[in-house]
Amino acid sequence: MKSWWDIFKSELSLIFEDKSILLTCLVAPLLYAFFVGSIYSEKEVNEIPIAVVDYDHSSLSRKVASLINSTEKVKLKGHFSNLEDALFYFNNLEVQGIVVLPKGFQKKTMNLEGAKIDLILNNTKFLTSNEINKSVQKVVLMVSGGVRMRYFVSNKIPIDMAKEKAQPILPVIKSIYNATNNYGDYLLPILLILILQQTLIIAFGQSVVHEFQHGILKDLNGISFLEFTKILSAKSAYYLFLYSAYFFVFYKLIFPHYTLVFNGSIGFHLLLGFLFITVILLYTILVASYFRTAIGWTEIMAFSTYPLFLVSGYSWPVESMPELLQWVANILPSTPYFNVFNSLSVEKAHLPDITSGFIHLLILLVLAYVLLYLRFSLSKNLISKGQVS
Amino acid sequence: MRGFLNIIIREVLILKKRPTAWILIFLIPTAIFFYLGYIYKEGAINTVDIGVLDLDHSGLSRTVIKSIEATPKLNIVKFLNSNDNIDEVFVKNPEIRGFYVIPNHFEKVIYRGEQAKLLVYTNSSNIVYGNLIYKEAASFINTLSAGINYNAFRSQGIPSEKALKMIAPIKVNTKPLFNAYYNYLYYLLPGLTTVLLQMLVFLLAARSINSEYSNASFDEVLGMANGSVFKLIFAKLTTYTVIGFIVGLFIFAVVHPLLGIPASSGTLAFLPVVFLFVMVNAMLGIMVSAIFKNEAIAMDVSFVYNSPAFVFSGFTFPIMAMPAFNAWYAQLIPYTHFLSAFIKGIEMHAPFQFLVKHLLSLALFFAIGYVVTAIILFLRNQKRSV
Repeated sequence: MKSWWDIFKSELSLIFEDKSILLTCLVAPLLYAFFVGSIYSEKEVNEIPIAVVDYDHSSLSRKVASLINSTEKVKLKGHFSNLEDALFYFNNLEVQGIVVLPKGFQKKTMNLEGAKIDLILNNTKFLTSNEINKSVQKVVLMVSGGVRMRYFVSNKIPIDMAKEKAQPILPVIKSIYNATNNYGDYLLPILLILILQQTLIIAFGQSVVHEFQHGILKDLNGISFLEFTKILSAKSAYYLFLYSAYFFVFYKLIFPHYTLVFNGSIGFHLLLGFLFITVILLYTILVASYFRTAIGWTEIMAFSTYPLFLVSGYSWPVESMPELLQWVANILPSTPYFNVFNSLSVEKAHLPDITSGFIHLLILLVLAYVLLYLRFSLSKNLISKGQVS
Repeated sequence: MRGFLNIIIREVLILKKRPTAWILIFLIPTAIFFYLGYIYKEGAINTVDIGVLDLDHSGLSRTVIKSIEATPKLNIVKFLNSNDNIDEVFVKNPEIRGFYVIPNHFEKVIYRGEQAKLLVYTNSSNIVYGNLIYKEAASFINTLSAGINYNAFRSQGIPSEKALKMIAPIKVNTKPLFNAYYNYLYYLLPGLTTVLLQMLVFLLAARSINSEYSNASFDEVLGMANGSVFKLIFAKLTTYTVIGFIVGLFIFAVVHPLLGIPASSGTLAFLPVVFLFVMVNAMLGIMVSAIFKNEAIAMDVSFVYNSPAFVFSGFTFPIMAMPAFNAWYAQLIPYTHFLSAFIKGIEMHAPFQFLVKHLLSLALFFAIGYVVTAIILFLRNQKRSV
């Protein structure tokens, strides 16, 4: 049996010989971080193109159109006199919404007879549709408030008081941790961590498959679980070190590059990252041990990104998933890790606030180790019964 | 023709011997697609847990709290008190996603006919909740405001109907087309299944040529094609296109209907577009396989190219909001063009003329894939003959 140090050196040789592993763990994380991360560098969606169909041609309809155009999120791409013309741009995805100002709009509004405007939204994409809706509603509320104010002023109420009477309760909505509700600050931190997770799974998995098919683990006969653990710990050490270093580089360089919020002690973040990487490594060994070829591993794991991310509860709450999937979510390390990371880094939580997430990760570490032991024992049993060569 | 068919049969037999190909062709469509759909089974977030901090303790503030409780989407689970540090509310109470603050003298200010503020804090580290609470809060407070105005107008002797028009002089009639209930399953699943279809076909095809070199069987297969690289490419292309198209049919005929994605009358007419999309990806996969003789490298390249296709496509974050380079790169992925065609053709039922430019883009991808593959194999073949 090789020593721990020899296995570690063999792993380094394998990485530098196997271009696929080398590219996946040394090039891909940084490439993806800049290439994919930069998609969200602008963070917000501004100037979403919409069209206005103005059947009224009044000063108020033009004013409303102009107010909508002046909002940050929306930009008028066309001012039309009939809906058919606007629909051409809508069907061609050149505008994402249409505001229809009907004939008599000004007259009905100013006479307080109740005017209606139609807002047609392309709801195949929620982000743009929501922003248009919000912007148009804001403008309409403002104009409506102005109309009510005008009524109060006409009833001899001083202008300052009329302004307050027009809107008796002022909504003050404060978005904490992401003041503008922007997509970049929400998704990018976790996307960067996901890049590290996925490249680690693929690169390390390839090495594990290699070890089981062609290396020391090819024949488990005569290997105790302790030796098995020793071999895998030596193989894992390089990845543990490399990915801990990646976490440090991401937090210290890439997060600031994208002006992402990062709170909490870097030491504690690295400790958490270390625990997360360890659990990922154990799970990877467990699953990769069932694969026969490293290419096959990459081929299949390429499909794991979306299933792992979407079930983690970051984009869709775990409690809104069916019970079975809640179980799945809770045995995956990304679920507690994303949660704890978000609490620490974005919400400025302290250690006592994230204890349950930390314990969750520790439980998964033990679970992964137990599962690995069972996998090892099962393989040995099968070998001893002659079912597996 | 016989040689052509023999290559196809041979290719299928090779795939049959490869367990991961079985997983790609059978397990991903039957397990992963349904798994993804199952995540979004609820379709929408039905209730959000929130807190309330009542600093006024007045009759009106209690009425406001009752009104919040009556809001179907909001569920009050925590009553905060003045000792709670507002900056730490979300950290100490992770179960709540937002909280309302009714300030001191709220009732008095309103009864004096002055403007009062109602504060709403949202935990927008998750924008799904942030947006939902924002929408609910804005609508709730405006309704509350409107109620106060209505009572004031009525007390002035203004008839009810007139008062109603005065509190909302302009009404917005919002028509969210193509997904009226903001259902996340309907929104995300078609995108996810079709992007995985691209990946599946591409990755399968990415081992079609280089594996012949790895197994030293290139001469054998070229012999079956009577030495014609064009016939060889066409046979391989046909195999992966047919497999991919069957998976595509499975998505539209089984996965989407079983998961309750609303059926579109245009689906049948759209199938030729699905066929073209699959053929393009099969061709590009074959091209990568021809360029990189090392199967593992070809697989890595395919992975790097395909895995960000979804985020580049503009499905969740619009291309127009991306920096110029990313927006340009998005155009180099066939999925971006297919997605536009899909949204127009299937979801919006737009006439065929609106799909043409996307189909031309897909055809261009195919032409590039075909020409590059043919040149590489032709040159390699010539070099070997020399």
